[in-house]
Amino acid sequence: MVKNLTDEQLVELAVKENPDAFGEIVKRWERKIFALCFGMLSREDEAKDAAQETFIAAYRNLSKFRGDAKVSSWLHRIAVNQCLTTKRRAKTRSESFLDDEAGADEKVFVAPAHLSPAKMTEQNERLTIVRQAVNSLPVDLREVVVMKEFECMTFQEISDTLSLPLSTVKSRLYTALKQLRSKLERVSMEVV
Amino acid sequence: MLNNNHYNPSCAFAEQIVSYLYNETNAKEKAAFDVHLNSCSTCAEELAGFGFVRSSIVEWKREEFSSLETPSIEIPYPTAISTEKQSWFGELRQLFTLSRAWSMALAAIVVCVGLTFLVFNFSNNTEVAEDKNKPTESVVSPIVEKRVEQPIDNIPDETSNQQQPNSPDTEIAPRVVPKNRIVKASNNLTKKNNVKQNSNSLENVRKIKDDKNTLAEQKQSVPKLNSLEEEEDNSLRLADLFAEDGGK
Repeated sequence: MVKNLTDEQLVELAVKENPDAFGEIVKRWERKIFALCFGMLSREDEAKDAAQETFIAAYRNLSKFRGDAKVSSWLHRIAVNQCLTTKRRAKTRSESFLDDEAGADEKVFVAPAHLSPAKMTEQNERLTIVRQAVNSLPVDLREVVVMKEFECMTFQEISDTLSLPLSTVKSRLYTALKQLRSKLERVSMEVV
Repeated sequence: MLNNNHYNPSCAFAEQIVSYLYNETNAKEKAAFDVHLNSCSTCAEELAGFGFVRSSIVEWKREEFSSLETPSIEIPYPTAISTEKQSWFGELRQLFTLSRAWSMALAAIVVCVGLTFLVFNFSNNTEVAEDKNKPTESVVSPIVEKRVEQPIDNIPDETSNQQQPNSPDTEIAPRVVPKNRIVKASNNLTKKNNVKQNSNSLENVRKIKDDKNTLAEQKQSVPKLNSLEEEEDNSLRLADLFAEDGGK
């Protein structure tokens, strides 16, 4: 029954303390919110916690949800704020920001078995560079890149979610790609 | 200062690079941009660079994110509120039906209260035990105590009466013949025995009375111990009667 309802109708039901309605909202958006959190934080554990906190915060503030904004926009706004809070906390915990970044670089992932050790090392380095480059972007540019690449949202969806004009979204993505290209090419030349 | 948020001003098609890159242009726009790329090296170079960036991000996502499972989101829902109308019996039964969590909480509260009660009682008992070791103050009033501790045979010491001359005990205490009075009576008896032996006449009786007077005088000369001594005992005495009978 709740599957046929729109996000806004589900929120209305959830406000009336219908757990099934909010459960459906979580089901629809959990993967995208987790992707957004991962793209913003670059860490699996932090992304999981941020996604969890995002939905809990949304549930607690259901009564504050205004119908003039989209549910997706509302959830993304909460998620981005949650990611910024998590980042701030991590920064406070670590002695310095550089240590924190170094810790993020030490993340170990399992590469496919068919790759040789040399290829694996090269891939690790490349991914580390990309992660660092994305993390160094300003938040407004980073969220557009993450929404486009990790959530596979269209420009129109990003525009609706962020409540920004379509041209602004394209402009931000253009700027972000230009900065990333500059950083990645610089690092690649240093490596070579 | 260079503003990175502006598109490349040198090319009119720069605005469409992003849309072309993500394949969000319609067919007409796409065809027009394809034609432009053949003639504009700047846009072609930029498009290649953006393609490299995009492929790098896609690789990062594929290697590190795609394999991750979506975390199970747990929302702390409050107790579910049923919208269905229940019968009055159902509502009453629900009122007295405790969930497992509530039952556990209630049991914990009962245990805590019981333990507190036990501890409180234990501490009270120890206090009482400590009090028992202490000497207990008598609840009995001094008057009753004196009555209990003072058997009728015991003759009260007059010095104790002298210490508390105005004590109300003297009024309530049972009437006991003072010791000096018994001594006096015994003296009288001995003397009257002497009288009995010596004479049977009235003169002897007078003599005895005289002796009594002398004894009274002697008694007056003795320092008085208490107010009871001041009273003259004029009651008829058995010894006097015997003496009189013996005299007759």
